[in-house]
Amino acid sequence: MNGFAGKILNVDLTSGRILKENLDSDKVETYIGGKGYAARLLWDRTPARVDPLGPDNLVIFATGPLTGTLCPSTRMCVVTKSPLTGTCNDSYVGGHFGNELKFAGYDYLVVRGKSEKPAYLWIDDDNVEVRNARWLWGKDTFETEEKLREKHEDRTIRVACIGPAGEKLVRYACVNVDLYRQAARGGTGTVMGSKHLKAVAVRGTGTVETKDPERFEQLAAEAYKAIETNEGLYTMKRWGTGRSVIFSSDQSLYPTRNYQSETFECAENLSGESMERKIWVKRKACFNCPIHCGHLAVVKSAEYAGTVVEGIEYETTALLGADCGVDDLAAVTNANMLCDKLGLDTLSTGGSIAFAMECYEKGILTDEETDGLELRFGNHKAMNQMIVKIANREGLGNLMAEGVRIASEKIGKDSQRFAMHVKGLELPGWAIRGAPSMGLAYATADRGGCHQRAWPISYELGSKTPDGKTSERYNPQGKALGTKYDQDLGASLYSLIACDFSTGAIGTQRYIDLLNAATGWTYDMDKFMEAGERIWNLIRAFNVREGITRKDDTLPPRIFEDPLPAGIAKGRVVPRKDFERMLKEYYELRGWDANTGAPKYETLKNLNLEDIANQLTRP
Amino acid sequence: MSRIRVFPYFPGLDIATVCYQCEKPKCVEACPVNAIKRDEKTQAISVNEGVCTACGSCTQACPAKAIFIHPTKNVAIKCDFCGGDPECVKHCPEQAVEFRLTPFDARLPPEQLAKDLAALILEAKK
Repeated sequence: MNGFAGKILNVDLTSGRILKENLDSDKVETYIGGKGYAARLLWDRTPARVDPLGPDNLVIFATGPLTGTLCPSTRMCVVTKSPLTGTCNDSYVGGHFGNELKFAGYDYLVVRGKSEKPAYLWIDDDNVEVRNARWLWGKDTFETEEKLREKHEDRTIRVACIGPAGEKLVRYACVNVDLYRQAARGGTGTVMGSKHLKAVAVRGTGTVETKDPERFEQLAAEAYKAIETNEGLYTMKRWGTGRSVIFSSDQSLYPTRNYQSETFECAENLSGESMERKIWVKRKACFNCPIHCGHLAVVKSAEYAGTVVEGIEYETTALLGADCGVDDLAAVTNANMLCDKLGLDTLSTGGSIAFAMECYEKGILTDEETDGLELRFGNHKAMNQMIVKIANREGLGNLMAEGVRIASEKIGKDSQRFAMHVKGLELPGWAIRGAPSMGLAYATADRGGCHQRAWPISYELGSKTPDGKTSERYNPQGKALGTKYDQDLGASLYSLIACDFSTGAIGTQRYIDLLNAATGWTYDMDKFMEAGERIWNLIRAFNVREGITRKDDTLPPRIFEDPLPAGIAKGRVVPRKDFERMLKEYYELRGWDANTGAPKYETLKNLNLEDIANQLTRP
Repeated sequence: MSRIRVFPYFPGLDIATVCYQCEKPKCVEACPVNAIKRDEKTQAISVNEGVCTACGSCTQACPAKAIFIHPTKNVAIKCDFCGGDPECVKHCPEQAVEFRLTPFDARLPPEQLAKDLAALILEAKK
């Protein structure tokens, strides 16, 4: 076999029909698998301008050729058209669900249609059933997972489910896996909710076989060793992503009070070091991962005693902490638990509440509209109450559940100026004015304001650019290349599916060797990068088909207009002309039309995407 | 397939469970065809696959759920010390699994182990 389980599992919830389809590995080869092939499935199997919350949209649970193999640190992703951004949305999640799905014999689970009654999917190797989930509807994610384990009398089954937020179609609801891990961004859970699909439970007893097992085993052992001996990962193992908090704040990269500032004076309280001292009790890892970046956190005393959650991740400290002006670690831990439990994306939730707080402080939202909640920055009680309101769509929560783009359009009164989103996706925890090329990365990321597609901050802080040059931090010149390179490489790695944190230690070349040993393909560095570029352009073509144009590739006005009040980048904005210059350079590099932002015909043709180009330009 | 398994018992606490190699093994007592015996060389309780009928009596008897029916081969399988040099011990990056030959009769069910551990770690949780 070849690294794949060999099957696509199609489930139509409208008719209840289940179809197992053989995976054609020749077709997959051009897109590697994972993100790439899932995006192709989304293009092929949805009509243009599909309603994200309608029955024709798909939810694709995708694994890659390395998922579930001996290769350490692999993940899965959930791909769908996002109700928040209207773009192709791929959200990644670790835990043990992806490998279990593959052990059950499926590389992809493609769900379409809409069930009349609440349903859940039970996958027990070959046996696949759509079952009634009325008894689970309304339950939170923790309880849903527990109940399903009880129901199937097996503690080792794996569950991906949504919480009340997904059922109520909060636009940024997440898919929850293994209690504390989420495919969170872009409303993956919302789409599941719109299909009345409460959960997917899976038990897989198979294995994943590779083409050249001996070589693969040897390469996987080397990869393992590389992670264990990597010095840079020491801090990741010890403090998880929380290691970046103080660094980020020092470098003016830590969004604070709805991006009013990018340096948080109390960042130390939210750092990994602080979590280690105060709340962590045990390390946690995903399937076959020696990095164990996760930590089980328990708040043992005072107001939030009894809070148990895995985390807190850097991004959550940024959005539910600094961005809301909150420096109380226990409060942020509790907020994190509430989001996981109710099935919300912590980033978009934090961004939305921060936006509401600024509206309240500016008098745009009144006490009447907030139901008496004093939504001031730093008021952690109000923040925690607001999370519950959003998940249940109560009062102001109903408006904020739409995300900051729609909320700011409805509120008006110039609030769009500080609605911190790109294409509707709330900006994550790496701020822009301290590292301008991050702005380009956000503006051009395929799913809107996302930090995982490219992280050009590293080039601005001293790493050599892909062409071997050094880059000046605040100079817009030559910034497009780093972003494009990161995006292409990332698209390929996300098709394997590799984890962000292992890629540095394992290295691209070793990943390519692993891929070849697993599949019997003949990838090399050039072909691998080209595949990434192909995937990136395919998704861009999808987004263009769904209505994304050049005018969507922009940043919130605050980034262009409001100088930073403090920190190392004090006084800085990203001048609009600098941004336009970066974007122009980027389009040229990409071979995209400077006026429409669509990939040119030749660009797609050169990437073996002629059929896509023909469909895209068809009148 | 792997004979050491990770059980998510208490929410958030996943615990690797493997055969305790009991002094008076319940699986041996339960087996109607005497397919399970202590291996002379490794001292591991081992299944004679040629004799095993996959009736499942041992899986019901084992307090640790450490013996189970192989999904395709249709025999009971359990930890056999990999012939005396366990692979899991070699692989664990945190040295959390060790291999010692000591007489040991801790036949606590893993649910109980997990609960005790949870109580220890999560003392403040009501």
